[in-house]
Order: sequence, then C-alpha cells, then structure tokens
Amino acid sequence: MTLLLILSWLWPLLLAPLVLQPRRHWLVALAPLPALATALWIPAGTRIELPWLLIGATLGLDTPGRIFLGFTALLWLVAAVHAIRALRDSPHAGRFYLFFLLAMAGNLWLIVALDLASFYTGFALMGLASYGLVIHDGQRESLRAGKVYLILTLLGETTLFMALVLIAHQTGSLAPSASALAALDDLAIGLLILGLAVKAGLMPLHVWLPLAHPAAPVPASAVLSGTMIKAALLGWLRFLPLGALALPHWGWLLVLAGLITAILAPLIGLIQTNPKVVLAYSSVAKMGFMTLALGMLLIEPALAPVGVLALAFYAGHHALTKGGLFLGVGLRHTSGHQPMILAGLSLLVLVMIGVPLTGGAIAKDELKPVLETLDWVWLSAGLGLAAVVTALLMARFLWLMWQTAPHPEPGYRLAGTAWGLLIGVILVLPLVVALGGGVKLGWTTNLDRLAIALALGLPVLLAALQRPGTLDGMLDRIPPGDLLEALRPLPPLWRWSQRWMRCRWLVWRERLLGPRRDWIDRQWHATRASSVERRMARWLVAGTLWIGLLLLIGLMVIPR
Amino acid sequence: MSGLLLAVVLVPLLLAPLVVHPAWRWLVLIAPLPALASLALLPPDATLELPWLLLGTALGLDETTWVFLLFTTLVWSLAAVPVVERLGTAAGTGRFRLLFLLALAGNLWLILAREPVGFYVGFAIMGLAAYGLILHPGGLMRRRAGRVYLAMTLIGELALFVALLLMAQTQGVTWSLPATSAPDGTVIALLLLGLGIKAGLMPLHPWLPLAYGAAPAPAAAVLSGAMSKVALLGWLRLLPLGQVALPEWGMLFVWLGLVSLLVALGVGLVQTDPRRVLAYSSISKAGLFVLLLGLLLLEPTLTPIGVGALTLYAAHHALVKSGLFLGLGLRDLDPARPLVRAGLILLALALAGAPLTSGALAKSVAKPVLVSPGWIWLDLALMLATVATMLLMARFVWLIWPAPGVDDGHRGALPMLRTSNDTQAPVGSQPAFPIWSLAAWILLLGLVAGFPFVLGEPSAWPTNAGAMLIAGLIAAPLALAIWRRAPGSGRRVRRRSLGDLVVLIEPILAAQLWTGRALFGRWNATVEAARAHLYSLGERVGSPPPDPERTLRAWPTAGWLWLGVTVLLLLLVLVAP
Repeated sequence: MTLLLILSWLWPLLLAPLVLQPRRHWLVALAPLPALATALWIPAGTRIELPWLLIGATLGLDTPGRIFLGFTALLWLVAAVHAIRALRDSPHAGRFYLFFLLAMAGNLWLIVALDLASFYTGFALMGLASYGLVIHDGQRESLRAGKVYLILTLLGETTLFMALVLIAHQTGSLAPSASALAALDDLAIGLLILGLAVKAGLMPLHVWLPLAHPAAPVPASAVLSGTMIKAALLGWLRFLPLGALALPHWGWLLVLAGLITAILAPLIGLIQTNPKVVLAYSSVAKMGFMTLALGMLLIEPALAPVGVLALAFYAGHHALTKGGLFLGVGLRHTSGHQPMILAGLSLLVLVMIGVPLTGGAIAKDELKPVLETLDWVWLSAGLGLAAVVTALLMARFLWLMWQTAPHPEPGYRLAGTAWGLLIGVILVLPLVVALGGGVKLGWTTNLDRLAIALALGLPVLLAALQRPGTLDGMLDRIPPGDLLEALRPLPPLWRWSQRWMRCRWLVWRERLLGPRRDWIDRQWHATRASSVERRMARWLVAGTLWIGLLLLIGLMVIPR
Repeated sequence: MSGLLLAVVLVPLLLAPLVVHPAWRWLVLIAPLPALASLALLPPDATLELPWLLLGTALGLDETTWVFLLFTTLVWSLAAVPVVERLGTAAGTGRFRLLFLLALAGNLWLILAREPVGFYVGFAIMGLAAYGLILHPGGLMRRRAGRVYLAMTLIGELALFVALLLMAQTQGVTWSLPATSAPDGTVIALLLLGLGIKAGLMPLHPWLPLAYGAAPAPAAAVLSGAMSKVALLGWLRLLPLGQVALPEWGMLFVWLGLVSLLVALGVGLVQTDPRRVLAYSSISKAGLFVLLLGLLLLEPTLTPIGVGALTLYAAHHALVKSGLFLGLGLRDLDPARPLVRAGLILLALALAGAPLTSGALAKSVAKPVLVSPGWIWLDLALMLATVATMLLMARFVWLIWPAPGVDDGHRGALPMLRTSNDTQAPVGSQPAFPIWSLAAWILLLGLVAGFPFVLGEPSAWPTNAGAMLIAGLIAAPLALAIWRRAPGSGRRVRRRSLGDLVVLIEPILAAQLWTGRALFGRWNATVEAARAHLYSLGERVGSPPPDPERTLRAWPTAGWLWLGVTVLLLLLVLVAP
C-alpha cells in the first residue's frame, strides 16, 4: 500500500530519463498505471508518514483526493497513448516525453500529498515542466506563449510558496487539519487564493491560458486544460478552512470573480476562430464556475461535506470531457474515420453543456444545493446566463470542428480507440455513480437554459449558413489573451526608457568624474593595497570560494 | 414665493418655442435663471402643491435636491453660453436650442418633483429631447449614435415606468419604498435597469461612448454633467436606503459597480479619442456610485454619511466632467492655446482625484463608506481603480496635447487638422475665438479649483497622494519613451473597440433580424396563399356585403380621429381633479 502510494508519482519520475530514447517511447503509456491502480484499490482515508522525504512528507488519499487521482491518472493515460502516435514524427519527441512525464509526476504527486511541502514540490514540478510542453514546437507564437506562461506561473508559485509558509507557521503543522486551518489570518488566505488563481485562470489572471493551451501539442493541451488547472481547485479544497468557519468576505471575492469569469470568458471565446482557443476560454469559464461554488462553501460552511465531494465530482467531469475535446481536435485533424470522430465530438459537446442524463447535468445537479445556498434571484440569473453562453460557445466549437478539413495520417487506430473508451467512461461513469449514490439523474437540469441558447443561436446559425460573411467582422476582434494584448506595447517602452535613463546617467557621471578619474583610481587602490584582497577579488578565486562555502553550509544542514 | 418653483420648470418650457428664432437665441441664457434665483431666495424646504396638474404635482426642495439643483443649474447655465455664442445661427441650431431648453425643463422638473409622476415626466422629456442634442448637426456617425441612444433610453424609460407603476400599486403615488422587511425585488431590478442605462452602468453603457463622442460640446457637457446624475438622484429617492439591509441586492450593486469601475478604466485606456476617454471615465464613475449604493444597501446605518458623500461626489463629478467637455470644445478651435490646455489639465487632475483637488475631497468623504465592510480585496480593488483613473487621465492629457509641429507657428489652419470632429469647428474663414464661452469656462474652473478649499477640511486635501505617486511611476517612463520617440512607440495600439459592445452586438442582432424576416416572409407567403385561396372560394359564393367601417379605416380619417381622442383625453386629464 505504501509502495503503491509512492510509486504512483515516483514511477513516472523513474521512467522519465528512459523515454528520451526513441525505442522506449512507448514507456510513456505505462507511467500513469500505478496512479490509476492506487485510485482504484487504495481505500480513501489511507495516510502514511515518510519522515525521510523532504522535510517530512505525509502521503495519503481522502475521498476528494481519490476522485482527483482517478480522473487525473485516466486522462494522463489516454493523453499518453495519443502522444505516442502524435509525436512520433516530431524531431524532439524525446524531450517532449521527458517533460510530459515530469509534469505527470508533479501532478500526481500533488494529489497524493497531504502536507504542504510535497504539495508545493509537486505543484512546482508540474508548472515548470509544462513550460517544456508549451514551447515544444518552437514556433514564435509558442515561445511567446511560453514566456507569458512561465512568468505568470513563477509569480503564482512564489505567492503560493509564501502562502504555504504562512500556513505552516500559523497552524504549526505541515499537514494541517481542517480545524487547524481555522487559525489562518487574512494574509495567508489572500495569498493562497491569489497564488492558485493564476493556475485556475481566474479573470484577470487568465491571460496565459488562451495562449498556452493552443500552443502546446494536442496531448499536452489536453492535460493542461483537463487536469493541471484542477490542481488549483484541489489546493483550495485542501488548504482553505472549508467547513471550519465562515469567511464571507473571501467567499464573496471568489463568488464575484467566478461569476465574472464564467460570463465574460465565453463571450470572448465566441469570436475566436481557433478551436483550441475556444476550448481554452471554455476552460476559463468552467474554472470560474467552480470557483464560484467554492466561494459558496466559504460563505456557508455547513455545506462543506456535501460541497467538497460535489466539486471534486464536477472537476472530474470537466477534466475528462475537456481532455476528450482537446484530443478530439487532434483526431479531427489527423485521424481517419471522420464521421466517428465528429460523432464523438458532438457527444462530448453535449456532455459539456450539460444535456440531461449526461455527466454535465448530473454533476451540476449534485452542486445544486451549494449553488442555491443563497437563493438570490440575480445570482441564479447570472448562473443561467453563464450556462447559456457556455452552450453557445460549445456550439461555436462544434461549428469550427465541422469546418475543419482533415488530413488523415495512418496509425491513429490505437489513439482513436483510447479516445473512444474515454468517451465511454465519460458517458457511463456518471450514470453509474448517480444510480449507485441514489442521486437524481438530472432529467430536467439545464433544459430551460438550453432552450434559450437554442433560441439565440439558431437564427445566427441560419444567417451564417444562408449568408456567409454576415458575422465575419466580429471574428478575432479580440485576440486570444485579451487583456495581455492590450498591454503588449508597454514593456518595450518601459525597457527603452530605463535604458534611456541609464544612458543619461552614464553620460552625466562621465562628465562629472571624467576629469577626476586618475585621482579617484589612485585613492581607491590606495585603500585596497593588500595584495591578498586583490587576489581574492578575481573571478576564479571568488567562484571557488563561493561554491566551497555553499558546500560547507550544505554539509552542516544535512545531518540535522 | 414658492411659486418660483413653478417658474423654474415653466420658464424654460415657455421660452423653448421662442428661441427657435435666431434673433432671440440669447433667451437660452435666461432659462436657467429662475432656478438660480430659487436657490438663492427660497428656504431649503420650500414646497409647492399643484393638485390640478397630472395626478397631483408637487414640487419642493430638500437638502439632496438643493445640491443637485445647484450643480445641475450651474452646468446648464455655463453650457448655455457656448450654445448661444459658438453654435450661432447656423442651420439647425434653432432646433438644437429648442431641444436644449426642453431637456433643461425636464431635468429641472424631475429634480424638483416630489412625486413619481412628475419625476417620470421630467425624466422622459429630458431623455427624448437629448436625442435631438446628440443628432446635431447630423451625419452618419451621429445618426448611429442617436439611434443607439434612443433605443436604450426608451428601454430605460419603460423599465423605470414599470418600476414606478409597481411602486404606486403597493403604496400609492408617494416617494420612497415602504419600510417593509422585504421590498419587491422586481422593483429594485427594474430601477437598476432603467436608471442604470441613464448612468451608463456596464453592460448597459454602449450608448454612452457613442453619444459623448458625437454630441456637440455643450450637449456632451450637459449629458455627462447634469443628465447622467439623474440616475443617482433616482436611486437615492427610490431605493429603500437606510430602512432595511438588503444583502442580496447590495451584493449585486457592489458586483456590478466593481465590474464597471475596473473594466471601463481598462477599456478607456486604449481609446484614441479624448471624448471617448472621458466617456469611459464616466462609466467607471457610475460604477463607483453603484458600488457605494450597494455598500449602503448592505449597511443601512451608514446612509446619512453615504447619501451626503454621494451627493458631494455627484456635484464634483458633474462640474469637472462638464468642464472637461466644454474645454474640449474650446480646444478644438485652437489646440495650441496654453490657457485652455492648462485648464483642461487642472480639470483632469481633479477628475483623477489628485491631492488638493475636488476629487480628493470627494474621495475622502466617501471613504468611511468604502472601508465599511472591511474587505481587504475591496480596498485593493479601489486602490487599483484610483491608480487606473489617474493613468486614464494621463492618457487624456496625452491625447489633448497638440501634435508636435502644431505648436510652432501655424495656428490658423488648426481646425482643419481634426478629422474626427470635423463639424465642431465652424467652417469658414478665421472665426473669432468665443470670448464669452471662454469666460464662462474660466468661471467653472474657478468653481472646481475652489471646491475643496471651501467645503473640505484640510485633512482631506492630501488624499490619494500615494496612488498619485504609483501612477506617476508607471506613466512617466512610458511618456518619456513616447516623447523621445523610442523605437516601437510610433506603432499604434491595434485599434480595438473592446468596450463598444455595440460593434459586437450589431452583427448578431442583424443576423437575428435577418432570420426573423426570412421566417416571417415564409409565413407571410403561406398566409397570402391561403387567403387568396379563401378569396377565390368567397368569390364563388358571391361578393361580400358593403362594409360601413371601411371609411373609418382609411388612414387620414383614422389619424384625425386618433389625434382628436388623444387631445380630448389630455384635456380631461388636465381638467379632472
């Protein structure tokens, strides 16, 4: 049991150096298997202490953790199968697989970690390794997306690190329990929310998402958009004092920001032309929806036991469906059997917009008590609006997929089969869970919203079919990464004026000091007459000294 | 004596037909005078009952009304000067003056009205008359702006009407919602919609940048200064402030206010027309008002402070914003005039809330309400908004700065340089600079500059100094780089109408409309076919009997009948008790 918990994240790490060789690329598909086995067989509530790992790690599974581990491992598995074929002809496939496995290890690690240090390590490993996935094709746009991604990720990780240090300090434990978390002050909670909001893509920190997800190769964007952004949700569920006490003001922040995100992101997504960008905006919107539900739990702590599970379930539904949609985009481009692919994509779209009897409707039904906590008219109206625009956005995605011209390549049979199995899981699993758990099947959930969406969307569709070009003026009016695009001209100007000021400063200094330089040199060297000091100031000596000192400090620290 | 209150409304209405004639255009200046006189002469609680008018009209003053009447009258009087002097006697100005006075009358009426009917009638007169102000002197862009304005205003008026009707249903024709524990949510939502359009709250704002960008300077000044404040007055009067805590609606107001406040600032920063920059600043200020109202709804005990702060803020914003628009009108005549530029910069500083200005005073008065909930993130968001407002005003100053080369020498040819506001500058040879308009504007500048020192404590003066510093640190390197023509700074920001929801909505509406028409056409054809079939059946049976109603259905007869009945009804309403 202990071994399985450790292997679930260590196994990908061990495999990582091996997959660099072209012969062993297929090993990628083996990497998520221990994690999948853990999710299936290790009971929830398992908890092991590993005092020798880092500063004392606690690994384990609680019920939400088990759900997260299950869908994460499953999606990584399907993505890995897809990646083996899709990246076969890429010149740097080995590098891609290495980063793929590192990110996978980080993602799985942070899920089984119950303590702060392991969570952070996994989170950082995942975030940094994903940079390699984003810039894989080396295109100009990808490099730019990678830069934006890296900057925001590092900012988020620094903030998260500060938050975790504060949490450890204020609760006095590395694996704080829910009741201990009640001792957190506003600063720690604020930093925790901010640090993870970057990963979750909460507006206005979402700018990296519509850039990075389309830039990465298909299997990478599937896991980026499916599982990795859910890590933020998991972090919030673990380290916010849910259920322990009510924090209305932080709850309200999450609710308001979530609502804005859930309404605004699909609207921006609607005028995009790249299907992957459309999906990225849909992910932003869904994360906004989940953040809103999380905020409700902070406002009304009594709901936490139900709400946390419902949120984990919703996250699973979204992760698998969104991952499936991204993989479907890849298959639509390259696979044979196009009618099957289109049918699969349509099914996934239906699940995503929450047609009755699908996972979307069931997951939403489970969240209903949380969303209806306050029973406020405008809040439910806002949520209804969000559901309508999401449905329109997915219709737009399907339209774009319809328009895509495929270039079939051989060898996608296995990837296609895995994708079909994933769709099967997405369709069947929620029904099984709902029947087993005695939950309603969501017969009527969302029907009204879908009707409104149809009423709004059908005339536009008709017009677009009958009079192509009516809507062309709107397309791409807002470029992906909306806010960032507006800020784009600024940094060069800042840099320029910094340089300008430095030049000015140098000129002035020269003018002031120039005539007196000889005199200053003489005075300066007079004070540093000792030859020992001058020798130590040489680069080589200084460097050696510095490394030696570091080693010494390291040696002193390790025995503790 | 309180008959003066009636004169306030009646004089502009009576003068309205006269000023159409160019020779009597100076009468426009007289129209706001009764309002000024009533402010000076009447006690602050004067009332006047006119039970025979409409459903029983009552006019009156109270503290809030007094302040609103004061700044509204000031704005209208100062804007009247350029209407007389600048617009002159060109074609179409007669119509403009007529509508100007009608809008003035409506605006004053609704401020003085003590019952919903008068409020609504004034609101409607003002809103509809302003349509003509935006259209002047015509052109495609103005027609589009006017169309959007008219459509949204009508929606807003309808919503307000329904809200007032619902209120009248429960409590009769009186002011303010009843002090029950659960006020009707529909009424509040309708009030938010109806007055939110007037205020320019996001996402109800699309008319605002279009109208402010298109309207002539005096019209934009009264639109932004006087008319948009009406929404705030309506909310203060009609919302149950200070009676019960309404967390549900309070949170909605806070949320909408925050969105408007922050998003409008971001959108405003990428605009290239100074008028649009000001329009987005107005939208963000509307967001601030709504945010403050929301906080008052959450915490009713703060209402006395809050209402005072809101009133003061409205006065500050009305004076400053109308001054900016009037100043832009002067600047278009002669961009290189340093006095105008200096005045505009002063006003921009006041709008940004720089220390020692009216903006800082207004902010410091509103502060107790803003910090009342004690949410850290709200403080941070407000700080961000303050900094962004300053950056927006820096952008405005940047945009009004004359392009290099304009400064040296050729001043005469300047009006032709502006292409976006071609008709602002009188076409013709070397017009004289409008001295009286300039004088009125300088008077306004004096008012704005003296505002904080007359009304505020010295402790309020340095408000916002920290935010100013941050904004300076952000903006200065940019300004330096562009000023020194850094490589890349000449590249324009890709023009984007992010905030102009209209641009995005119009094609969708067009598509919906097209489909609707197509479907309707299909349906019509089917119906016509069926009817033709029926007729042919009928003819086989025999011709129908002669129809005595047919003569009445002819258009001219029906029209006259309709008009006659309407007039009769009106007379009955006026005469009946």
